[in-house]
Amino acid sequence: MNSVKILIILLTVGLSLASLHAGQPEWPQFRGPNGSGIAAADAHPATTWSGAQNVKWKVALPGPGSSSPIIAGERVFITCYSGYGDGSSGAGPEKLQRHLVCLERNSGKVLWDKSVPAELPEDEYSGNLREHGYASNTPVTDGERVYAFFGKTGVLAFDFDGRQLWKVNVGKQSSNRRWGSAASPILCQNTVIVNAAEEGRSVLALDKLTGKEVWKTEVNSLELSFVTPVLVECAGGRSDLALAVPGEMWGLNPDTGKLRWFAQTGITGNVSPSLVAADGIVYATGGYPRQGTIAVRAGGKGDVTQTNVLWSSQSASYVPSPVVCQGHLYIISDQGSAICLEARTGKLVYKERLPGVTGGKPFYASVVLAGGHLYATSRRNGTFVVQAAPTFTLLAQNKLADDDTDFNGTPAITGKQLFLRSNRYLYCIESGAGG
Amino acid sequence: MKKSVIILALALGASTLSLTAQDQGGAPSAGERPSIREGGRGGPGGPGGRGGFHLLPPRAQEQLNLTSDQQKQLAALEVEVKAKIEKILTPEQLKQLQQMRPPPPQGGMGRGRPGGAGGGQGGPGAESSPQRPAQEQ
Repeated sequence: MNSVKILIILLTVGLSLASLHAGQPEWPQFRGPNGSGIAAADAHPATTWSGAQNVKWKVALPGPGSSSPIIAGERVFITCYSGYGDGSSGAGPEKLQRHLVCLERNSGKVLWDKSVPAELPEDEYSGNLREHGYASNTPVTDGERVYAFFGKTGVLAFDFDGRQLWKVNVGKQSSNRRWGSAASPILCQNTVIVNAAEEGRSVLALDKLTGKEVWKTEVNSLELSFVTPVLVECAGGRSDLALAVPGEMWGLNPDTGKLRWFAQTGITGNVSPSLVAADGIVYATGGYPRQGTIAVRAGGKGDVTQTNVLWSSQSASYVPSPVVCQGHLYIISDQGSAICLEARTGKLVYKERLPGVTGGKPFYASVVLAGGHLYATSRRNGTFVVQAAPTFTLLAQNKLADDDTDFNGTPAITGKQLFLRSNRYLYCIESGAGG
Repeated sequence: MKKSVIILALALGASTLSLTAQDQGGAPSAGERPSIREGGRGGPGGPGGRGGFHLLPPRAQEQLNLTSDQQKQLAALEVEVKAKIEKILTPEQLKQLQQMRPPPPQGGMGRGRPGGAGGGQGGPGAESSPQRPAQEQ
C-alpha cells in the first residue's frame, strides 16, 4: 500500500470521526428531539431507582433551576442560578448569576461552569417567579455549540470548551405578571429561534454562528406566552413554526417570521406548556382560569379555526407539556392527574390521579417517554413511571429520599441513562449502577 | 355653533367607536370562540349583545350612571351623528367601517388578579382577537 492510499484512508476515517463528533445530539433541547419528549427508539433507561439503586452519579449543582439537562455525545449541559433567590441572605437582583455547566456524561465530572452576571433590571424574586426561579429556559445544542437563553440578560452562544462566542440582548421588559423568563430556544437550520415574549413581546431568529438577527416578529399579544415553539411538517413538505399565545395558535414561516395561519384556541389568560407536534398536528394545552387542550392541523393560510381545529378537550395541564405517541396524547397535569386522550378525536381514554402527590401543583416538569414508559417527575414525590398505553398502569414511584429540594426540571434521556435535576443535584440514573 | 357641535360629536364618535368595538371584543358572548369541551369543536359565534354606533361606550354609559333623560338625549345625538356620518362617507367606506375588526388590546393581555406568592396564577386575559404578526403574502 503506498503512502497516498494510506493518506486517503486516514482522511476518510478522520472525516467520518469528525462527522460523528458533530452528529445529531441525543437530547438537544427542552424535551428532546424537536421538543417531542420522546427518546430515541433504542433508549431504555431504568424504571426503578432510589438513593441506593441505579444512581450512576450525583453531582451538586452551583444553584437551583427549573431547566432541563441536554445531552450531546459525552457532554451534558445544564443551567442554574445563584446569588439571589437561592436562599442567599440579604442579596438583591444585582447579585444574580446564571450558570451554564458542562459535565462529562459518564462520570459527572464538571468540565466547566460559566457564570454570567444578570443584566438589570431583573424581576424580583416574588409571587409566581418563586415557583421556578431564574434558570428555567433549557439550552439547545447543535452538537458543536450550546445556546443559553438567560431572559433579560440575553441569548449567549458557547463552544463546547466553554468559550463565549456571542451574546445578544432580546429585551428587558417584563409581562404585567412579572413571572420571569421560561421559554426555551430551539434550532431551525442555521438559526436559533427564541420566544422572547416575556422580554420583548417578540419572537426572533438569530444566526447561530454570529447571533445576528435574521428576523424579528414583535406583537403585544405575545405577552404571557411562555411556550417553547415547535417545528411542524405540514402537507407538501413545508415546515411551519407553531407557537401558542393567549387565545390563539400561530403558524409562522420559520425563514421570515411572517404569519402563515392562525387558529382560535380558547386557551386564554396565559399559555405555559410547550406545543407538541406529530403527523402534521399540533397540540396545545394550558390556559387560565380554565385549562383546555386543542388539536390543530398545521398548514393553510389565514384563519384556519373552522377548517383545521380537530378537537378540544377540558382535560389539560397548566404548566407541564404533553407527549403524543402511537395515537395517544399523554398529559401529566400540574395537579397530578395522568391523562390519556385519543390523539385523533380528543376522546378521554383515562384520567387517573397519581397516588401520594400532595400540594396544589405537585408537578412542574413535563412527562417524557422512553422504552414504552412515561416518566413523570413530581416536585416532591419522586418520578412516576407509567406504561405508555391506553390502559393506565403505574409501574413505579422512584424517590431520592435524601434530596428534599424541588424537582422542577424535565428529565433528559439517552441510551440507558436518564438525567434528573433537582434544585440541588444533577443525577445520572442507569440500570445496574450502584447508589 | 351647530357645525362645531357636529364636528365635536364626529370626533367623539370616531374615538369611541373603537372603544365600543373593543368593549364588544372584550366581553364576547359564549359562542364567539371555540368552546373547550370533550371531543368536539365549539359552535358558531353568536351575535354581540351591545353592537351598533355609540358616542360613549356602553360600559362607560353604565359607569356614568346616566339618567333616563341623559340616555334619551345621547341616543338622539347618536342617531343624528350617525345620519351625518352616513352622508359624509361613501357606500364603500361605510361597508369598510362596518367590517372593521376590533383593535387589539393595548398594554398587555392580562387584566385579572395578580399572582400570589407561591401559588397564585393571575387572572384571565382579555379575550378579544389578539394582535397578530404580519401575514405572509
